[in-house]
Amino acid sequence: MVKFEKIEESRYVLDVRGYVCPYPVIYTRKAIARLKRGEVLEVITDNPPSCENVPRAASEDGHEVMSIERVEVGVWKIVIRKR
Amino acid sequence: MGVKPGFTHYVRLRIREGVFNTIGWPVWLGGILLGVVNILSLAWALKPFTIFTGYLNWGQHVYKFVGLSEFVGSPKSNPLFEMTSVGDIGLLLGAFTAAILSHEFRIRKPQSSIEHLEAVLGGILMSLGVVLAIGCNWGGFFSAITVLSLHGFLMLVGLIIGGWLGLLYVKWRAERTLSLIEVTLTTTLGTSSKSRSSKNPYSALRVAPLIVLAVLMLYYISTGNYIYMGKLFIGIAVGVILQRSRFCFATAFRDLINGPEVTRSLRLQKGIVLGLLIGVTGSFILKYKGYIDPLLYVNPSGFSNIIGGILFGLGMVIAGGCASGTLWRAAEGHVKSWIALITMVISYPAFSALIKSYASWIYGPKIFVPYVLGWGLGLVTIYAMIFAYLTFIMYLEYRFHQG
Repeated sequence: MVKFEKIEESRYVLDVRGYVCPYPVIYTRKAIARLKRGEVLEVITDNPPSCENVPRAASEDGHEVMSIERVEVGVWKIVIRKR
Repeated sequence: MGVKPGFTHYVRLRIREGVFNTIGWPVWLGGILLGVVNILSLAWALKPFTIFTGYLNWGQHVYKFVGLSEFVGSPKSNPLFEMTSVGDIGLLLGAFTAAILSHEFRIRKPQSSIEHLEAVLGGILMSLGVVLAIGCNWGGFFSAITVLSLHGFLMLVGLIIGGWLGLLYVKWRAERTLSLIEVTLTTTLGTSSKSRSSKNPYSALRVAPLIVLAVLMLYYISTGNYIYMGKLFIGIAVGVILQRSRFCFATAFRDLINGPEVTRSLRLQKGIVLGLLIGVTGSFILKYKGYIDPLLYVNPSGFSNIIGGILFGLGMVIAGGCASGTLWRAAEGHVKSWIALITMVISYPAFSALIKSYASWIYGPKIFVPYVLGWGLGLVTIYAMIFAYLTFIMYLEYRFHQG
């Protein structure tokens, strides 16, 4: 089960904690597909390689990676704006 | 404030940013280092770096403990005096230390019971693959090519096919068994609203690897077993390199042909090629000059290696990590990898005993390339085969970029 929540207007959270490669990338792409242009997606992951794979997949698809930060030990938040 | 940070603070900051950072080391660096470490292992321990023989030792101890020793054979020695097992222990220790220092250690439980099932199934497929290919992604592929034995190239063919089958499974699972659950406008939020917690619940673990290392070193020094202590350090180096460069053989073979992480996969493959070129050169020197037995670690080459590669390739994708990837992720706190590791430790000795008693005819002849073609032509041929493999990867990259 992957949680995909709308937290405020034009801002969504995708929680892929517990998933390893390649699922974080697959679900990020699925989630971005549901967004409108200019809307923002926060991806929450606890899989270290995803800190590189998810932002790269997003920018390869032409979206803007706004930030990658650690929110707690072993958990990261990747913020992407759909282009 | 006004107080200038001291030198030690500066060094710590640089280590944090440069070595134990969030992005990790580039994979080409990982590939080069793994090639170098493999030569060191060959020269020091008279063994290339491999993994599954250690699982055999651990598994035999488990079987002995429950009184089923005659089925799988008695362990030859205790896990601290078996070269491959020592390397595996080092790998766990190195990856654990790197994960702790990078703030990446965390106990991660799988989201669903499907993942537990995947770990068991993937582990069994990998064990079976190792028995057929006579080695995992190290002993059957990376280290096998390094020691100039033909069987490594045969497993490579199998791994490419098995990784692709794994990709089909991953795509099927992502489409069929899981979907996004949309919850609109919720006020209760998990992690995203939490501010960055300053307290690390795992920080107490930071001293654990140091204590384990100190105890093991004291043990080896007091018994005069410096060879094993050296192998432990080689294992630690492999663990740190794998964790830091996220050197995942499962991703490398899974996403090669239009997978979700195809660029990562292509980069990993080029890292593997770099490691192979370095490892082959070093091992050639050691073997040609007679520093080590030329036939060291040359294993049977035949159809079983390809089949083993296919099973192993599929298994590592399902389990979410190859032989080394499972150890590194287990040390990073992934419960799924713990299950896969236990499955391999239990199943491998059984498969190994079964095939050796009833089906040893499946193996082909041992082919050491320089003995077939001569040292010079043998080395050139191995390089040519590695370049053919690189050309295949470059072609896939070209095809991907051209759409």
